[in-house]
Amino acid sequence: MKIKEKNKKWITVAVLAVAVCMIAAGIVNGEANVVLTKATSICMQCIGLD
Amino acid sequence: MDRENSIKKQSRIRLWFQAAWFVLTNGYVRGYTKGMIFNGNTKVICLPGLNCYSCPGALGSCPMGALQAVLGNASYRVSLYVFGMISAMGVLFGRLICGWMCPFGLFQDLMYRIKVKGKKKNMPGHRYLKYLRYVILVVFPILLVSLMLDVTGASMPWFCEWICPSGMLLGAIPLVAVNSGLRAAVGARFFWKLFILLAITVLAIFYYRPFCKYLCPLGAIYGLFNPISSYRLVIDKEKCVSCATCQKACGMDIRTFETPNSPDCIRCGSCMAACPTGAIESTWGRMGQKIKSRCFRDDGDILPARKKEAETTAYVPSDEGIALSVSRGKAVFLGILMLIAGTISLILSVLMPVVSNLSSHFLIDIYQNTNVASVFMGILWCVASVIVILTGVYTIRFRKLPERLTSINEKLRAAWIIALIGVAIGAAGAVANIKTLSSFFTPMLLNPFIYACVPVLMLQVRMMCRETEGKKCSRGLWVIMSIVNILLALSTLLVLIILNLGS
Repeated sequence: MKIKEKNKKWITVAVLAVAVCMIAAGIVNGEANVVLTKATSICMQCIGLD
Repeated sequence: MDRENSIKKQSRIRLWFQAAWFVLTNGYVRGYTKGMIFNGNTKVICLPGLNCYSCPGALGSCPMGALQAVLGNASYRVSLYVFGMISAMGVLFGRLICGWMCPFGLFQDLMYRIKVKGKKKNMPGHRYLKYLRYVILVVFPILLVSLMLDVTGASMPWFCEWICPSGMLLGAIPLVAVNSGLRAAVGARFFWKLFILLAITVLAIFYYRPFCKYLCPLGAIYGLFNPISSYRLVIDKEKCVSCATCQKACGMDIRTFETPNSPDCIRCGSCMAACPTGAIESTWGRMGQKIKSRCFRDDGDILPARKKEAETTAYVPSDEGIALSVSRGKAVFLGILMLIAGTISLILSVLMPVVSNLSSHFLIDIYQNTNVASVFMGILWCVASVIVILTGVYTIRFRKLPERLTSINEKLRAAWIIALIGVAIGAAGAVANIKTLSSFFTPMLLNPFIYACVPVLMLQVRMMCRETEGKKCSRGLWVIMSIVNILLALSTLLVLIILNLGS
């Protein structure tokens, strides 16, 4: 389905708004802490170590 | 020949941008020398590209790694935070991230530059192989992580563990080279991943970006946003002659003139540089042209003969009952105020944190207690400052027309709303993490211009509007508001002086 050029702008804004809400919900849910904890220690699996 | 030079120039600009972005986002130098990783709070933010967070220099986290970290955690089955970040970046940039901000993309671009015989764009079986990345996206970072759980309900990062070559290149090799403790842990998986990295490296010498085309799950996600992202390619049908020069220049082998926003497109810009008729533009390019013409060029609404007269005298239109003039001095005064205050605000929002970030790589670890909300606050204030600066330029070139004044007020209102959103985000972050209150409170003290002075500027612009409508405005009120505006514009310097005197 071809989306009209002018409608794409509104779709972009809508998706961005939903994404921001998801980020906020994730932060409230404590997901940001999980990401930070994982990212601040060396991921042995990521670098192929046992 | 010109077109070839244009394509080469475009390629060179992109390469330098990719290198600069890599240095900016992976610039923790101490990590490389000590064999450790950065553990500051900025790692809660996902970098746009496939940037392993076990890279010694990485200042942010990898979206794929972060996604698997949350999905693999026993407490979560869905990752709103990471999906939200990926969606936000995707809808803003699409696969522009792949073309301009991904370190592994940069690596492949460099490999493809090696001169060998037998170079081709696509691997055999390209027509079907290009869908493999969607299979990898669904299977490895989503299904396997969600379904293959251990006794505690947690899971491993399957894509990072078994496939991701970026982790090997950016993380494993630099860490293992320096850290003897990690070197002792090298086993079969390390060599398996090394084999994958070497295979992709060899393929990248002969084929253009094979990992991006066939294997990258992050590119698969971003590609889905290509048709609706803020950055899109637009074809001018009147100029396009369907010569397919764009396809010949495109490393991803896309018929850009037919599908300008294909999910395979990495927005490298080669097609735009190659197009002989200039039929391909980007939405951001068009916006840039519009801003340029509004702020820096004459909009052509005054005939040349009248232009000199308008610049030196008070211009009164010949039709009766239409607006009276406003002195040019008032417009220049307000424009300069906007320039001064916007510049000071921009320096505080951007340059100071960037400079302290760069210096911290060599001196101290920072961001241990950074309030991430205040980072977003700074970004929004930066955007608002830039709008105020551009509006200042626009105001100085004001041509005494009521429509222009309304437009100035619209721009200032946009900047004000953006700044207020920044304040709200910063306040929310300070409330959520009261320990980091100072990282919200201090910028609020030092940067009152953006949210306090802009409304006063708007009031003065409104007074000018009323003058052009023939309504007289109090001279005393104009002087008082001007003094208030000057004080607010220089408020940051005043606060710094008072704080220094106090200490």
